Amino acid sequence: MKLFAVIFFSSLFILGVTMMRTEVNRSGRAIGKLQNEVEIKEARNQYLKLEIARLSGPETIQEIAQDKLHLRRTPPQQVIILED
Amino acid sequence: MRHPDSAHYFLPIDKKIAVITFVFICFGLVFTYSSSAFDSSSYFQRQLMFDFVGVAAAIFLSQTYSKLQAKIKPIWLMYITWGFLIWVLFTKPIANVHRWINLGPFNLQPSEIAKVTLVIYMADYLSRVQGKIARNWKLLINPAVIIGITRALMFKAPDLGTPILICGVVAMMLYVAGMSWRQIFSVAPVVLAIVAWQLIFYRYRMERVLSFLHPEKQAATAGYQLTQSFLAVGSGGWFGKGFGNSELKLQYLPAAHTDFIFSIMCEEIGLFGVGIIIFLFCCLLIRGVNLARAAKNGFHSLMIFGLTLTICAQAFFNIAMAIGLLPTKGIPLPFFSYGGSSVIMTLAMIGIICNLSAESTAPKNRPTDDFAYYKNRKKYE
Amino acid sequence: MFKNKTPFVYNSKSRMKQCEIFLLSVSLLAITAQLVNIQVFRHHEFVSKTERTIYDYLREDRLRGQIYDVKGRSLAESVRTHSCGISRRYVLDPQKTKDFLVETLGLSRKELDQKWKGKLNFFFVAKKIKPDVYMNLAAVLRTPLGQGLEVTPEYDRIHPYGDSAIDLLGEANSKNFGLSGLEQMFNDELSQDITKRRAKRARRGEIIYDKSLKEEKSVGSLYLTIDMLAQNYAETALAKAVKDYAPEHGLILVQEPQTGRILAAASYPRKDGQSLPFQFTYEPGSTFKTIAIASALDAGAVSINESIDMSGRNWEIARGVIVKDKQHKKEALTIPEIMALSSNIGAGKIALELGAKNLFYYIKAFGFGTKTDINFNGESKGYVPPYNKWTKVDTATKGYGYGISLTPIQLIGAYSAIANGGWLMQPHLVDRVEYADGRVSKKAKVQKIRQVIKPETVKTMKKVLEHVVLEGSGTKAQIKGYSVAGKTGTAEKLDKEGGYAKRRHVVSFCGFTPVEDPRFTILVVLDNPAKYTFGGTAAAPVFREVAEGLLTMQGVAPDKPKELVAHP
Repeated sequence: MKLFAVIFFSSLFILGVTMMRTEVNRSGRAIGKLQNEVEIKEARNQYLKLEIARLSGPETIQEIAQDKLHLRRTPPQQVIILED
Repeated sequence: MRHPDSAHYFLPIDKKIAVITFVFICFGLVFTYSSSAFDSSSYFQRQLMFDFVGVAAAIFLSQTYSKLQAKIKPIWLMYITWGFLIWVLFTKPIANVHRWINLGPFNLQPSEIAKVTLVIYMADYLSRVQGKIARNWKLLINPAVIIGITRALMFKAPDLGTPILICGVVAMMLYVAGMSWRQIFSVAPVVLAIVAWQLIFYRYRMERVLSFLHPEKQAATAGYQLTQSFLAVGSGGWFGKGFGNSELKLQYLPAAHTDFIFSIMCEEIGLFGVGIIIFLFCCLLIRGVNLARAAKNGFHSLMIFGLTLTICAQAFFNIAMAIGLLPTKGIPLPFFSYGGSSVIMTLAMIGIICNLSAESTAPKNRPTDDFAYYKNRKKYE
Repeated sequence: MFKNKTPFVYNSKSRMKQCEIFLLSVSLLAITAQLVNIQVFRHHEFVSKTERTIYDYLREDRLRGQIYDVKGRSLAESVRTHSCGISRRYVLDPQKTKDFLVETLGLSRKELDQKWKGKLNFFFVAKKIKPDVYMNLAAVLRTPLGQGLEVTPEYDRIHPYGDSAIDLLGEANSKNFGLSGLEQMFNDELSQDITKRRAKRARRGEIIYDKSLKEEKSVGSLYLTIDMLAQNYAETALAKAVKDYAPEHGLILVQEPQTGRILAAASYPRKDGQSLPFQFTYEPGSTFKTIAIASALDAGAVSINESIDMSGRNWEIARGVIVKDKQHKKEALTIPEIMALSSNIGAGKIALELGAKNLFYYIKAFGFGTKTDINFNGESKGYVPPYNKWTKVDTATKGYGYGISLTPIQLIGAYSAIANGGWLMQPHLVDRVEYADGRVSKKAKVQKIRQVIKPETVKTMKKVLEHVVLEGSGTKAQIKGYSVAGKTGTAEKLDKEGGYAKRRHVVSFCGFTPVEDPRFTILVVLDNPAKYTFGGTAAAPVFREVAEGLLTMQGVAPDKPKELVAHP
């Protein structure tokens, strides 16, 4: 009976060690997955931000201003600087 | 043979076999967990359940097997087995093969049952004709027919590993039962020819066979499993990477928790550790054969011999397969590989072995009172 | 059968033992031999193979740093995308998979079929898959439909401003490696040093984090001194000039004379990593007269009121080498007149007056013949031959900008020196690098390299250059309400035979505004316009356009408000 107890408890201990190590791997993978998700979401955001940046860039604004709204670029002479 | 009052008598379980079995069960669970938990922890839980059922079955059978056997004719067991084997052909194939019958909580694998029933039938038959085989060729017809039918049914599944294993075991039983050398030499070529024909019959088997010859060349296809297995075994080295530290189990090695669990064992506990496991299998074999030799009854003796051989030959077969000595065939490592049918049937076999050896060696004048006997058993033995 | 023979004698117990020994010996021998072979003899082989299979470098797993302009507008940033490949062999149902790919990725079925029929088992079907599409794709990866699909992360370098300033920025590839331009120059700062950091991966490519893989953010972001608005003005103006004059090359460079910071650097043709302001070398022609005359004035070789004899507007420097002035009919010119009319004879004579050695000293002091510390990829140092090999002709021609080659960044540095009171400033293109962990490494510190000319000379030179714009060849550079100083240049270009080909020429204008407190130095160069033009007609208006834009942008108050009142 003693032998069985020794076998049982030693294997239980080893199972514990194994579980711990496996858990490290599993949580490592979970972190990796979350990381991936975060990065994908970030990438989506980034694309949206890029779109904003593109649309607010000088080329686009100039196009809209000149072609659609028929504005002209202000010559520097017409800029009045208000000193405080 | 059996003592009339044995119903009230606790048959002793052979201690060596019990210890070895217990070690296998405990560490089998550890490795099942280690090799499968990264993807899913349900395998471990199910294996734990199977082990409990198996141990219960083993204890139950170790006390009652002989009585149960007396009530059933072995040929009926064969009929039931064939029934299962035919049933399985009509089930939905899993991974392209008909190997499992879905029984709700778990999948039944009829070929596992066939292993046991065939041994029972053969032991029964051979014990009756023991000694006469050599002089009478006709006596070989019966086993040939039974094996032929079983093999044919398994062959349809398709399953090749188990029939070959069964053939090997039955051949040894025939040899023990007294086949002459002349008979052996005339039957062996026929059997080998059938095996060769079956190999060619299905191309995927050929591929598997070839892959084990050149695993690196076919690394992308059939040899992939074996290549990964080699990586696992080879990177283990002398003492392995430690329990739970296997790296190939991270989805790299397919079937890491079933057929290829031995590779993961090699990786985690190294040559030293698996050396102990192999040594224990050898001990099991030696102990079983010794028990068989000690049994006083021909049927018991052949039964114990056949069952021990089935377990150990299967283990060696699986190990040889995992390290690339034999073509990869779906044969699980007894006690270790995940699988309900395999675990329960293997433990049942252990139970039967214990029962038969106890029945066979039990003293005739044992008392009817269990407790009194158990207390003074040394006196009787 | 055997009735007449002796009965077959055997012992079943010993036969059992035989079986046992047979099984044990055969299997143990084979298994032990193979195990020792694999685990002991081939151990190292398999360990290294396993390492290669499971561990992988992390280089492509970190986003590359961003590049910003001076106002913090993002010019280049990395986005995680994915590429999708197919291992044909593992695909379960080709038809379904094809349908799915065509629908999800918007592929053309024809192309896909063609690739499918090819010999390769593995091929890419799509690259740079955007996150939205990737999420649809990822949903099927673990299902039977997704078998055989291999989706791997890769990086796309995105430029919100399109290919504006792409010549400066350069390219980075999908593995986050800088290939050209600033991306290559600052590759180490923009990407993480992870050559030794490796991660364990599961088979499907998932990274398994462990303790050794803590987030270490050492990626830096680059802040340029470039202002995208200024860059846009420069690029639009250049595009317009290219449309009008069809030059082979063209470039506009804008520098802040007080700090040396480059505000804009446009080039035509615009190719990634090929920024002409740093890489283009040419003979400057008349724009170089400013340098020669400033040197002569500074050295005291001539004085501003001196007049130079033109004697028939034909000057034979040495036998057979004749310099002619066709653009005026005067017999003598003062220095402002020489500059305004861009007289080669005048400049040549002044150069001789100064002497080869002194001129060489000043040329070197202005920074010609050496690379600037910007050290842009492919930056040239130009060519200034050593003065002891100069003949009299060489010295004279240097005076009006021949026999010397320089880069735009050197020339603008020299003009900035005149603009800011005589100091050669270290030019800057990169303002700072900000690391993710908060470290900031400042690159653009205002750094005076040396005082090249005295402040008095600067005063004189400014007047001279302003005169060029007011009454000389640069009148088209005038801006209402602002004072402008500059010099035009029209240089014949060295052709392949080494002589001066009339038809290949470079027109340029370099100047600054406002004169008293210069905010911008602007250099415009058009290389070999399709029809023959002059610096004053082609380059000066470009200067004006860019300058106007910049003045508006920075809100510079007019320094000549009276003009505005006169012409409302």
